[in-house]
Amino acid sequence: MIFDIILALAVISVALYGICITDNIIKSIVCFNIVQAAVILLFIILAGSTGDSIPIVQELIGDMVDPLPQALMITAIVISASITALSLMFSVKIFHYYGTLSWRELAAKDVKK
Amino acid sequence: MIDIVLFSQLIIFLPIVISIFIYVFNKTKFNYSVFVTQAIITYVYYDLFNYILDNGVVKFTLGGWSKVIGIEFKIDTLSLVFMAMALIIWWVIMIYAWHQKKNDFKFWFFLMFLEGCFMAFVQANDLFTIFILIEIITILSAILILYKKDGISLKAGLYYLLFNSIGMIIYLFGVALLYLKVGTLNITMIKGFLLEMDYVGINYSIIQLSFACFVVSMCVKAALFPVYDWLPRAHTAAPSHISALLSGLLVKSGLFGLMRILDLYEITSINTVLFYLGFFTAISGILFAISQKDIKGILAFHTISQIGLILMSIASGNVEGIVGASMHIFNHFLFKSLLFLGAGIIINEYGYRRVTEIHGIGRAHPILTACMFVGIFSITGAPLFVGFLSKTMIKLTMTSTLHVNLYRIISLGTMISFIKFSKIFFGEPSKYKKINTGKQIGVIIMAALCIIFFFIEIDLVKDMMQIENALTEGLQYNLKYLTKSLYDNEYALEYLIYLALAFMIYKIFVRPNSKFLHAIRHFRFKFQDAIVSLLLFLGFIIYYL
Repeated sequence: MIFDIILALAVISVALYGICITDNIIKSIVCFNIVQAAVILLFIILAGSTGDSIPIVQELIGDMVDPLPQALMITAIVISASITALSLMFSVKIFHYYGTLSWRELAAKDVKK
Repeated sequence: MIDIVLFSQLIIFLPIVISIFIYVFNKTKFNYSVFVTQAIITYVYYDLFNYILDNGVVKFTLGGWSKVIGIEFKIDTLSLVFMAMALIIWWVIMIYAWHQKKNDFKFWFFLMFLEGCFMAFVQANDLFTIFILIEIITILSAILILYKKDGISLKAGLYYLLFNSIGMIIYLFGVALLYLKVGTLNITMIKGFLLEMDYVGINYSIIQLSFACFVVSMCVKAALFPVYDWLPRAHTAAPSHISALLSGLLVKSGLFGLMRILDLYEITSINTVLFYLGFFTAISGILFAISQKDIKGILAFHTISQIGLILMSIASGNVEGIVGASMHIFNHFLFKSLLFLGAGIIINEYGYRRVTEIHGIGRAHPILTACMFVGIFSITGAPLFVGFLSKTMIKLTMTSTLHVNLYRIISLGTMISFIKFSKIFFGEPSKYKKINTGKQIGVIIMAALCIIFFFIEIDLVKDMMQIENALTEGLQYNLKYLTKSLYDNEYALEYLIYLALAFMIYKIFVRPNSKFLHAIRHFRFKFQDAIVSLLLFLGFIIYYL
């Protein structure tokens, strides 16, 4: 269990490191997706361990996987997808407007105005 | 006897369903249905309000599921306050923006959908529903921010969306950790579990880690000290009525979540951190506000400083502090929306928004100026205006001399930044354009509410706290003190002295071509730096706990 948490933390920190160093908006969005996916995976891993039975079987053998996190995470995935779609749309519009996708260059253009 | 479930769901789903109809039908005449909807849910809210004042806090689960796995809704006084705020601001925005947006069915779709989601958010009683609704609110408000579709608002919208979503991922991580330990998401049940749990070893560490995650994500949403950079961008880039909505209401959704989380965990060791966090937020907000040249920039940074003040009140950790904070949330909502709406009219007239280039509003538009001055007097805490009540309540919660002095510095800073703002009203008018009646009415409504609530707010607070069984002795003492000091000349004198002091400081220290102010004005976090400061902040909170 602790191993899972540490693994998830490792993936999250790699992706957050990516957000911190990259200058490109698209790469930021990709990193954001990785963080979201890692947290969602963590939530699902924590709900049951290997060898548990699926929650829809009538006769239970051993422990059962907790079905609630899976139901919740589907919603979280939908939200993550919609945020990704929306931010990609924004970045396309920004590229049309400014001709660049770099955070640094965008900030520089802000000051001039 | 009313059907409480039906009524509460009507407030949530009627705006959402109507918004979908507006989008599908795409008829100009159908847009008038927003007023009908708003009238119906106002009536429903009135019934709900009376019911809860008579019968106390209401909880119910949707769809007949058990409390452990179902979606539970809870309506308490805090939700009632937030719902009242939402109803007021949506009425005002509808009146204010009607002549511009009459035919714009997409705008009404997003606006009404947002109202339904916000109403659901303030009633939700489980952690995951709160997560979903905050995300939907973020998405919808990002779309409303870039409604003008120019470059600056696109950038601000993207920044707002990504930064807040990363904050909410931290929240989701906290939910995962907490679910691992307690096995439910219902806030009331988690509170029961946490009270029984023995705080030793790894269990305690995981609970604390989840607490730190919740606090940090809510601080992002409420724009606190190291992570506030999204707020001024978004609030200056948005159209004015949306700025009023964001600054008056949606920023407070973070504070609402923070109050719920602090109530859930009851970890009191965080209070000192929150107090100084609030203080630094307030001070940095004031410094930036003084340095700004943009009218909306001053107002946006000022929102940050007032949120710091509210946090200082929450951090006192007792009922009086929470009541003071809720009062200030409500009052700040009234006068900040008023100022943003008024600023919107001025910007619309002049076409640009530099403080130094706008003057003579007082001659050109006397009614608008009177309304704006109601807002300015309220925000600086003058007697006979609504800001006085909550600022006095917050001052009463500060127990030590150090805290009172820090509070005084902040209220002085508020005055200084508004002396700069009020310069636009004096001098000779250079342009004149007739103000649209709808906009005028919207501003007048907010100004009238600022004065009306000064007279009725104390009684309302007493009634509301009675049903929560939270009318403690300290709170009763504070309210009695407040009632006594309502028409006290001493406070008016104190206000005038502060005003004179603020004016002197402004004359001496605030120069138009000061290098220090110039440096502050152009200081902005890059996106990456903002994320780094968010992570450092998270690390600090975890380390502190």
